[in-house]
This record gives sequence, C-alpha cells and structure tokens, in this order.
Amino acid sequence: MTCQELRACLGAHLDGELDLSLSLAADEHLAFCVGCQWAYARERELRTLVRTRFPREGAPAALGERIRGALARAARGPRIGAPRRWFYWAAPAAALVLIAVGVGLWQRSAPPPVVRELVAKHAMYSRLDAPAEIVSASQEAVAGWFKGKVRFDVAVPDFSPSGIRLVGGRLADLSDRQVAYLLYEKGRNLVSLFAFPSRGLALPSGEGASGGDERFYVAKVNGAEVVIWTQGPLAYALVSSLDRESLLECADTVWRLVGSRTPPGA
Amino acid sequence: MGSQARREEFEDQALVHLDRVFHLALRLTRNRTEAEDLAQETYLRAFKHFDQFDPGTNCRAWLFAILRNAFLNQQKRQGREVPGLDEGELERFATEMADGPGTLESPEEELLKGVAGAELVAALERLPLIFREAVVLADVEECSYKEIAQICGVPMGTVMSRLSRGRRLLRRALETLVREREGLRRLR
Repeated sequence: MTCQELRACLGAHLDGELDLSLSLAADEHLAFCVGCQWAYARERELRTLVRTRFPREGAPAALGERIRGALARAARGPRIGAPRRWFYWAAPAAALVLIAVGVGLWQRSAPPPVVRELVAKHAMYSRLDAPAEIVSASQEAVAGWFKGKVRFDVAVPDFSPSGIRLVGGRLADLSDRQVAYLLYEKGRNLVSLFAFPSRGLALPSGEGASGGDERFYVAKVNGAEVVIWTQGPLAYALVSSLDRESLLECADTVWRLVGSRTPPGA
Repeated sequence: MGSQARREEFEDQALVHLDRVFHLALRLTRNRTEAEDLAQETYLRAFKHFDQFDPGTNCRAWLFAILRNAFLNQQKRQGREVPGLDEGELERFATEMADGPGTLESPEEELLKGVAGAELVAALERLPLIFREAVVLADVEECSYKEIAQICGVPMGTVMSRLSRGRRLLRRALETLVREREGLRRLR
C-alpha cells in the first residue's frame, strides 16, 4: 500500500470499516511510515474530539407528547372522532348553504383539524424568543422575502393603527402545503397571520354566523381566538390571544388589502 | 392488529429514538423549531408506513432515512439548498475554505484542546449538507458505513469519500473558527 492509497482510506481504517486484507495492509504501511502515522493520529484526534465533545442535544420534553398526540390523531384517522364531521361537511359549498344555523353552531363546537393545527402552530411559535425567519418591521421587506419561496403573492397588511406591529415572517407547513406565516405583536401577545392555498382543504366558513360577520369563521380554541376566511385562491387565518373584536378588525384590514390587490374578475 | 395496538407497538419501537431523531433533525435544519416540526413529520410518516418496517432491522436507521427524505422534500418545496452533487461548486467551497491564512502556529494538540462543543457545532454548520450529514451520522450518531449508505441511498464508496472530505472540511472550519476567536482575543 502506498502513502496515497493509505490516506484515501485512513478514515475508514480508523472507523474499522476496511475489510481484513486492506486493514492488514494499512497496518503494515503505518508500522514504518512516520508521515502516515502522524496523519493517522491527527485524524484520530479529530474523530475523538467530535465523539466526546459534540453536544448531543435531547428532544425538548414537550415534543414527545406532541408527537404522541399527532400519532393518536393519525391513528383515529378521518373516520372516527371529532374530525369526522368535517370530512363530511367539506362537501361542496352549495350543500353548506342548505345547512341550518343550528347545525353551523354545532359544527363550531368541534373545530376542524386545520383550525386546531393552526392554533397549535401559533401556540408553539408564541413560546419562542425569535420565531421569525425574516425579522423586519418593513412590509416591503417581508413581502419581498417571500418572493420565490412560496408560489403565491403574500400581502403584508399594516395593523399599526391598532397598535399591532409587524415582527417578521417565516415559512410553515399545513397538511403538506406551503404557508406564508406573518408574525405581529401587541405588547407581549403574538398575532399570527397565516396565508395558504385553500384548494382541497376542508375549511370552515362564516356562513350562518349568528349576529356576526358572514365573511369570517370565528372560534375560540385552547384559549386562542381564531378568524378564518377564504378570499380568491387563498385562505387566511388570524390567531391570537387578543380579544375577538381586535382580531376581526385585523381580518377586515386584510380583507380590504387583499380585495384591493385582486384584479376585478380574477 | 387493532389500530390502538398498532400505535402502541409503533410507539414502543420508534419513540425510544426520539432524542436521536430530534438531534439529527436539528443538525440538518440548523433550527430548533424546524427540527421539532421535522421530527414530528418523520414520526407521522414512519407510522403511516410502519407495515414496511422489518422488526428485525435497525429502527433508528429506518427513522433516519425517513427523516432525511422528509427534510429533502421540504427543502425542495421551499426552493432551498438541495444536495445535488454540483462538483464544481463543492470544489470552489473546498478551495475557499482551504485558502485562509496558513496553518495555525500552535501545534495541533493545542488547537484541538481548546475547542468547545459550541465551536464544533458552529464549524459543522458551515459544511454543505452532504458532508454535514455524513459527519453527523458517522461521528455523532456513530452509525456504520453500511447504515449511512442505506440512510443516504448512496454506495459505500460514496459514504467513504464524503466522510473523508467532510472531516477535512470540518477541520478547516474549526481552524478558521479558532483563528477568529484568537484574533478577537488579541484585539481586546
């Protein structure tokens, strides 16, 4: 074995991954070649360093529970338990028109999976110190950051008249589709605005809302207020622990911004 | 198997590896939140395909392979770094890293003695994905070459060469970091 050959398989020799004959040949070469002995020691030192000193972080305690919960929901599947109603009600919008107000209220008692998933995302990100991937209070900068990252135009509304300031944005996933996630805050409260393609998703509608605004579906899930609606090809969701009135005000702002950008007839 | 029994069986076999799954996710995504999401996605996918898992084989390596696939799909969807083997680009990278100032004056032992865990992580994070994953799987997770070949879907020879280049790049990245640290100390 030449020096060059040995250097090519130095790591594998160290890892005990060479077959017997190569390993013997390597040892034989190492026995008399000082240069290669030095290279071997150097390689071993790095390997030992990584093995002994690299911090092996364990999973956060809450992650195991979160995964168990997700597995339990997956095991139940769409046929059993609360989500079932929504799979049936996800029928054409025309069918929904026929459903009485009372049924609408009953549906509300069990938020659809999409809503729960969005609330879970909001809850998770509100626990983090720096949840945004792009941190900027500039609407243009945040909108620009999403260009090329998601396949739709991201409208970044201004909620500052309500004292809610833009923190930034990040990418998220929802049932395997891309979500543009905008983060705002008022005081210590995170306000999440999600935008994602609505096609093929079982989304709740505001129809039949008693005394409310029929454009928006509203619900309170795990202590968070949720407002969801569909506009054009996209669905929007606002989630926050702020009161419902403030959130509906934000929803109206987004609605008007998106409406002003969508070309007529599109 | 009933659905409850199937889930319990899966949890018994797979959830014991959660720490390792999360750690690999963290090293691939370089972001805690994304790593948590990726770990969850991995378990959901694994559960869906649990019937394809051969109980006699290595469950951790099976989960790692699923994790890696889920991660690459995510990257593609988001138009981010995908480990295509653009040799030219990798060569440029390797040269760039080698082109720094000459070898440190302090002997090798001295250099490595001072390296902290956080510096190892920072140095590793500078590596392109294909080298980063090879080093993490071999030296942090202590997988065999055969396991790495299965996880990454490449021949053993490729594992060997990626690992060898990965370790070389890691050493250079470490040297650069130490040099930066030393430079800062001198400025103070």
